[in-house]
Amino acid sequence: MKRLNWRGAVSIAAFILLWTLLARLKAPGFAEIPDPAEVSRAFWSKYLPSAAYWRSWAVSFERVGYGFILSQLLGIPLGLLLGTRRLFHEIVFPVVELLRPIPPLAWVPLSILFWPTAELSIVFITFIGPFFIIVINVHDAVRGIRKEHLWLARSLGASPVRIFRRIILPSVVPAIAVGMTLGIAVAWNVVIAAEMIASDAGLGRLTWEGYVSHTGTTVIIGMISIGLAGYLSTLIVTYVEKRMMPWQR
Amino acid sequence: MAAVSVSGVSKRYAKDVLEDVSFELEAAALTVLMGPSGCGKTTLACMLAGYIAPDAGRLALEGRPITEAGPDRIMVFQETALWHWMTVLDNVMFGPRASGTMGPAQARKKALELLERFGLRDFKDRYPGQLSGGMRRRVELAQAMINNPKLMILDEPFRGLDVMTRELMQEYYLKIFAENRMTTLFITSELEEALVVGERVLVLDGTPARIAHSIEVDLPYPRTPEVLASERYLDIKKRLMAALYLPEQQTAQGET
Repeated sequence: MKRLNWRGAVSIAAFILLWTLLARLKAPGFAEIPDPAEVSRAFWSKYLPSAAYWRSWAVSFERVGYGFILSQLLGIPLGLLLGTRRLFHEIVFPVVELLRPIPPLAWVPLSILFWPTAELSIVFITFIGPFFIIVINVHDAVRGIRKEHLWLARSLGASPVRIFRRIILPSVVPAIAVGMTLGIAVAWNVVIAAEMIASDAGLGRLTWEGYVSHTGTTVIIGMISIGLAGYLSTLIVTYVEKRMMPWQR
Repeated sequence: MAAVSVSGVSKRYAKDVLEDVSFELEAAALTVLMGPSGCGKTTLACMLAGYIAPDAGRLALEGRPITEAGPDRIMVFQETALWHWMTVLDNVMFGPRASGTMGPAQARKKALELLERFGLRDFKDRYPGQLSGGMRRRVELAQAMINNPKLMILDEPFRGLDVMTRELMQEYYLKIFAENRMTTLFITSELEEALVVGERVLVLDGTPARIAHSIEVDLPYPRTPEVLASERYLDIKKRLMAALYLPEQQTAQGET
């Protein structure tokens, strides 16, 4: 059993108390901000039973899911190619380095111009962030493989194909795990902002609509939902990562 | 008969400089290579393994020139090179599977036999990260021997182990060597270790480095405490120390 961190519990209680006080006293800046009790009342009565609210969850999760999974499916092989193929690296890597510093949100206008539907452009933007992260992580990991690990395989008579499968791939798994952890966080960041700018659905949109309609409870429920959604996807990614690295158990 | 011949090998590599290095390794002999740190011992080992090509000169194993890495030679590295994502058994059975000399069942059987011999059978499903330093070294020896290489290159194999484990491992390697007499080049920077394991000690020295001395260690095995206290041992030790630590000219005069 893990020991309960009572100090943590006390500080969370203090935070909620302070928030309640500031909201009730209408402290400067808190004019439109509801207190925690109002938020939870609104949540239980209006949002929990609302199909539209849960659709926002589904829409955002779907976008993050597509963008993230696509970024891994394309980014991991690209990183491996860049790390192992010298000629390919010389030709393609400069382009990667040229595009990589552009923040994903800077792609929004171009993406809307390019893709036929808003949905596609949001998935694309959600894809861009984790994509460059995983490419660079895998690329660096391939280049950082200890040469003794490769030499040993050669001395035991392994073919290039076997070296790739048994030595190079498992060597980059930890870097893939790091890239995925960073990538899923970036995917959520990006999808929320993109939804606020360019969508009529999703948790980002829900939060933004709360602001537009001066509904403080919606804004805060939106924020908490986004935090929770990010946390849940991190749990999934961490689970997958553990399965990828049985030797680290 | 010489199993390995190195003639006129030169290499500028990182900060190592080797020039006109020539020596031969007797078949079925355990030869030690010593020299100050950074003199190019590891570079020489890597050239024998076929990982690095010399700038000039030639290296050959049983008359065939060494041009690339291959399953007729194996090197055990200073730092463990076990693949930490594979179990002990997978690490050991990799060799015959990779070289295509055995089917999966046969490779597994051979690997288990070797692990049994190395006292590691119970650890076959562990990962290298779960083993002690000494056990990891034994797994590496099993992994190295499974393809029956003609030349075993050990690059400071027991460095970093505590004194007790180190002595056990030396004894261990000698026991295995006595059984199969695999031509061995044993690199070390420890004088005592060189004299406990070696039949002959080559000393690499100078800038650029070349083989400066070759000292026969004609002591009987096993090298018991009695052997290691003998007149003969002390005499060889004195000569080796002189070869290692005295300026070149002096020893050159003193020897002959």
